[in-house]
Amino acid sequence: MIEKINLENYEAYFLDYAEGNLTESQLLELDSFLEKQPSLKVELENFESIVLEEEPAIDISNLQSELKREEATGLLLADYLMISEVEGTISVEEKAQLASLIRQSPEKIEELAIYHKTRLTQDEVVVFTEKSALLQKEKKGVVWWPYVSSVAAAALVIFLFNFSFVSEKYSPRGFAWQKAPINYEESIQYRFIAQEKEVSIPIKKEKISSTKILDRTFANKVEPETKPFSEENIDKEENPILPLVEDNEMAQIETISTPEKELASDNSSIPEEVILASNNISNPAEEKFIPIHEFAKSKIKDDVLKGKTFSETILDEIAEASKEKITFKRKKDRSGTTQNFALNIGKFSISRNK
Amino acid sequence: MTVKEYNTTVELYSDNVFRFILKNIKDEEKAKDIVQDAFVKMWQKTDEVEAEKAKSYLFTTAYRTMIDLIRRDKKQGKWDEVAEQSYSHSQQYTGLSEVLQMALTKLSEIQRSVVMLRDYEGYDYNEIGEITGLSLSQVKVYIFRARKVLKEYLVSVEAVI
Repeated sequence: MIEKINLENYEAYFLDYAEGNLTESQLLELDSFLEKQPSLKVELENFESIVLEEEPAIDISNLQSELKREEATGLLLADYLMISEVEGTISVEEKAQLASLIRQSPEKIEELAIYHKTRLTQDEVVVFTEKSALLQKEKKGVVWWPYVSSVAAAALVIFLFNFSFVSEKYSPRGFAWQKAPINYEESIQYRFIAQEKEVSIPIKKEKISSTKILDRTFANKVEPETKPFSEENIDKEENPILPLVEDNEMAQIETISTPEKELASDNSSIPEEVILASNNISNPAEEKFIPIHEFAKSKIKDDVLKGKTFSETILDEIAEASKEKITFKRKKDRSGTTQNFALNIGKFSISRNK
Repeated sequence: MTVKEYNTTVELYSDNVFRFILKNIKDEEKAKDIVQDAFVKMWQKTDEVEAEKAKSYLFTTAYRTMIDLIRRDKKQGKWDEVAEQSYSHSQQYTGLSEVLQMALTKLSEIQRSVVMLRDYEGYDYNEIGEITGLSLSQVKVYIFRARKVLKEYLVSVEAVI
């Protein structure tokens, strides 16, 4: 409560009067006081002329974020905004704020320019000189075709050696046609028969490859020709029909001299180990196209005269086709039955043990 | 990642990783060891690391190896003995670059790393966070404080000149 107005406290009355806070009784007191002290009327008018502007509202959220920013970065607003500008992370509002600051303090432009200089530039002269030690060699892709061809060749060999008509028991000393009638209308089939007689036959020197055989048909029908042969050397069961050569060629082959690989006609021979090897790879430039029967004729003739068995001939052909080194080993029992074998075609190998 | 992609990362990023490490530790032999170590680790994990993330993987691995090395050497008291070697051709620097290289030495290890990742390699804050193991806000604070230090160093040098 305000005391009664006097010379000690009249300013408080004047302020309350200017702000309109005096009651009616207080206003009456003020009037009677001014009548006694007319010199203070001017001072009261001065109080009335002072109009205080309304203070702007304080944005607490901005204050909080600024406090947070300063607490976090230790940077003043101006530094924060300028670094944000350099970093490219400045928002639109912050950009306006920075522009306002620069308008108020133009020297901030120089400061901003120095901040821009703090960006490090690429230094390309620093080079790591030991890259070669870090590089790795690329693994070569697996080439499948040699394996595929080897497997195919192996399958063919297994088929041939497990098929009854392929036997090592025949004596490749000669050829003759069996007397047994053969139906040439259905297919042309020939017998591959050992002979006691010897004849000399010119050997074809020309190299022929089976890989280029195109004609698989036997165009010429051939009549069988009976030739003498030794019955005891013929095992009809073990030397079945083979589609090998034509009769007109065979007619010339009375007997063929084969100094080696006499196959035992009896079953008393000791177990033998047959080792066949072939690395007979032809020069493609020497190859020519011939029908299959022509090839078979010449091939068998040539190889038999060279002392090769039928198996060796087959292996030679597979070696030519696959371009791989082929090794075949097998062991027979007393009856001549193959007990085990091992076949290597290039990197591929297969074996069987009974 | 294929062998071809791995070899491409060697060609593309070995210089960058080497520069990053070298400028931090200023020891060429150690920097080479760290780079080789990073690439060996990546080679061992080519099945897991995707080609697109190879750069980040290399920087992360190299950075962490470097931090381990710094801590180990500090424990052994070796770090202060490491002499600064001339590992670049200073004649290619501008005056500002030289001053900035000096200014970088005023930064803490982490400030230097984040600024270099930001300026030399152009990584954003998230990527730098992945490499250094820092949060996004930490990365930002380190970079802002580093800029302030660099700016004050430049001002002081200009004042001297």
